[in-house]
Amino acid sequence: MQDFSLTAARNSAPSAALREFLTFRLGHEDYAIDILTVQEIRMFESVTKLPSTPDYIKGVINLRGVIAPVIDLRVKFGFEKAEYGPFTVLVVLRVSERLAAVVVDAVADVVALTDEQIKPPPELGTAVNIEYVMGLGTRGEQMLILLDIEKLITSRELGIFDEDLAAAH
Amino acid sequence: MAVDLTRFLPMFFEETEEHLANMETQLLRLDPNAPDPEALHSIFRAAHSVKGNSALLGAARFSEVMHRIESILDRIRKEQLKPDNDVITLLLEACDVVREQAGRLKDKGECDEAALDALHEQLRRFTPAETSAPALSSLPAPARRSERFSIEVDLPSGQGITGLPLANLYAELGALGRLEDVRTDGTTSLSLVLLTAQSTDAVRDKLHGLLGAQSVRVTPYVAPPKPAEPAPPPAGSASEFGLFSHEASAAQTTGMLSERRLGRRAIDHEATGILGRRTTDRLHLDRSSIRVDVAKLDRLLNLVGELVIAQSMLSEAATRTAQDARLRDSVAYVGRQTRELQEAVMGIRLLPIDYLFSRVPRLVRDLARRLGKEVELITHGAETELDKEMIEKLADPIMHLVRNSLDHGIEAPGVRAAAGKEKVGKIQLRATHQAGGVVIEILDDGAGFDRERILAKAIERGMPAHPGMSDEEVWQFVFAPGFTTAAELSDISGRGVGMDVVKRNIRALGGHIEVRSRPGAGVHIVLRLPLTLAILDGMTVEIAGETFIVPLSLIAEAFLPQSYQVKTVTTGARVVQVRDAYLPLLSTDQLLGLKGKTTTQAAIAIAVDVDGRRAALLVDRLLGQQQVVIKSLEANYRRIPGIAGATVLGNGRVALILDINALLHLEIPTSGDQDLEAALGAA
Repeated sequence: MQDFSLTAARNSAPSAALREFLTFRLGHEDYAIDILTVQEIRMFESVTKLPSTPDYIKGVINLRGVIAPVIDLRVKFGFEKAEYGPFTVLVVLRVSERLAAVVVDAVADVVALTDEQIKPPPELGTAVNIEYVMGLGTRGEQMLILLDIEKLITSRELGIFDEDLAAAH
Repeated sequence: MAVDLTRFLPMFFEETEEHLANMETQLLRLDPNAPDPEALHSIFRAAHSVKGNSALLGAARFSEVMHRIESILDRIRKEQLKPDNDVITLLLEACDVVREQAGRLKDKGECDEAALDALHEQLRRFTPAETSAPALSSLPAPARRSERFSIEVDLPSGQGITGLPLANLYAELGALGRLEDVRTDGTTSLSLVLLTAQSTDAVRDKLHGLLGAQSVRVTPYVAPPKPAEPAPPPAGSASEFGLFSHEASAAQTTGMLSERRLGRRAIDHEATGILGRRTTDRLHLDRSSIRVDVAKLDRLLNLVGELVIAQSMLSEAATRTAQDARLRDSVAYVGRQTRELQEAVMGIRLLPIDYLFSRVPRLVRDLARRLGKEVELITHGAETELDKEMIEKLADPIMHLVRNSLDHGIEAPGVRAAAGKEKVGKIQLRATHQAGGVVIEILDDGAGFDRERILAKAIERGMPAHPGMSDEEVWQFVFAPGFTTAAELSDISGRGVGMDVVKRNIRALGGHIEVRSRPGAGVHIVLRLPLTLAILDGMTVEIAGETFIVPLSLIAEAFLPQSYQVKTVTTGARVVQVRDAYLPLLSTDQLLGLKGKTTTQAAIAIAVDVDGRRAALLVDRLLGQQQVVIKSLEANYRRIPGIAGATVLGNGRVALILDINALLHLEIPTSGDQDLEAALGAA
């Protein structure tokens, strides 16, 4: 297992209007999430399956003694292929004081976006429920779907946490 | 360098609780006919400390009450008063009131004045003014108006503030009246302002006796013309508990408290609040100890758990690859040390069960009095150690069982005499270490369970009862929710809430409860518990390709079910014959909704027994036995039915711990089969 430390990226002081995002690929689309929710990135490792859970919950892993669930967003978003290749990684998130890891096809980059570069989400057109899209970011030719990962992870729809926490969000 | 005394409040509350607990234990042991002078002295000291601390912090009402208690104790000491039941009860009640009011003060910042007044009145009955304790000065006579005095003390040269017996000084002055202001430069002088109804001479005499005549000057207080610091609070103001308005210098306050801290017998890990009464003599000797936040201990325990995992990964790698004998030896050595470290860290969390047992005498005494019964309480093995968290969680169940024994078990003296028994009933509490766990027994020599009445009640309630049942099966009914045979409800027990809760609590701790009873000879209850909640002895098994842990304590046996043993009952449910019993045969993978294949032919069945409810679980393979560190799954994921928690195996992978009790319940709703129900036994 291999850790890519994100400390450097986190510490590079963002100017007032800049927000930093971690970009990654899911299927054919590029997504981005707020870098502050990311704790670490790990190589995909084998997980322990959990009984009576939906398909997109791959199981749990041991994060230095803490047990955290692994969610395959590709399955959740209904992508045709959800394969595990050499670039498949786990993005470990810390949301609402809880840990969860999501499987993504490849981590690309850390990008800083200004407010101008972020557009409101379209009415339709993404695989993800529009509720969890914060907006669209543009970087040159590239379009990034900015996910509200905290809202998604704590959502009742995903059902990772107990009802009380999900309901609070 | 004035400091806010409020930062000493938590310590005040903690110590007050300790002292009260100490008083209580000693009071309960006091022999009315020949009070042990040492015990009396110990109670006296405790009361005195509370008085002194209260006075220092301006909680004058507490110090008044404690002063009254001291006076009573002094009379007992001088054999002017016999510590009979009434006196002891009053003193115990006084402890309760002070504890309760201290709690109120802590939570709400105020006390119930009326309660303290009432207590004060009661205590006064035993301390006629003229015989008031000369050990310390008597309370200010109500007729005299209170006045303020300035007290100047020259500090011993060279020693400064540390040269004074400050704790005594504050205690004595607190007894005289209210200490309103304390200032010092720490090296040459100490100035105090005392509000008291005593005369100048009385104050002077007291101080001269304590500090020597030369170094103390007592003069009527003159308010400074332009106070640079806030003026002392007005005399007799409504808030007698002006705990937060006083100031004192850092040097002396710290000096005083640290002086007391040195003498204390701290051992617990912040357990005082919850466990309260910690009092054995053994603990008094324990001076070289520190208080540690439990969260820190838990973190340490977690880290060591991680270390154990890392170590086993290392040793796995070393045995696989290393040709070098020295490396293997070193790895083995690290392994041994790691395990020892783990044990040592676990040991920190262990406390003697006396923390729990010492709360029982009071309960027994109060209850026996109320019920008009005579009971002797005997405890064995109070030094037996177990996990702190376990002790806390055992408190309610054990108190409940003792209460039951007293209320339902032990007969009234007359009844006992008629039955040819000793008039005084016996309740025994025993704790022992057995087979890596703890066994706690509660025995009484009362009437025992009434088999016929329990059976009748069970049949009346439509429970599966019949006269041919064995005693053990009959006793199980008392654990049914809402079950009671009590003819009339008392406020002590008999509402039928209780035994089921007791059983549930014990189960939640990973323990068992056993009941034995013989008519006329009493009830014997045995609680078997693991030593700690953090570690579990488990059987690792493979189910549908995943590794699971089954708590070893629940496994009766493992066997290869033969096809002739397995029968399918009408609903499609299967049972397996094990000797003379039919156990429901459950496919664990299906219960858990795992996608894998388990067949009766190749699979192994594990017979489990959860409080007499038996079943056989099918698993693919047995992998071995091991101790596992229990981790919460729910920290980052919701609850999963049938899963109690998780652990990390030697290879770094997560394994889930099965919640056998929940698994059995998962199955039950889907089968309404009579045979199956019968096969499950009398649960």
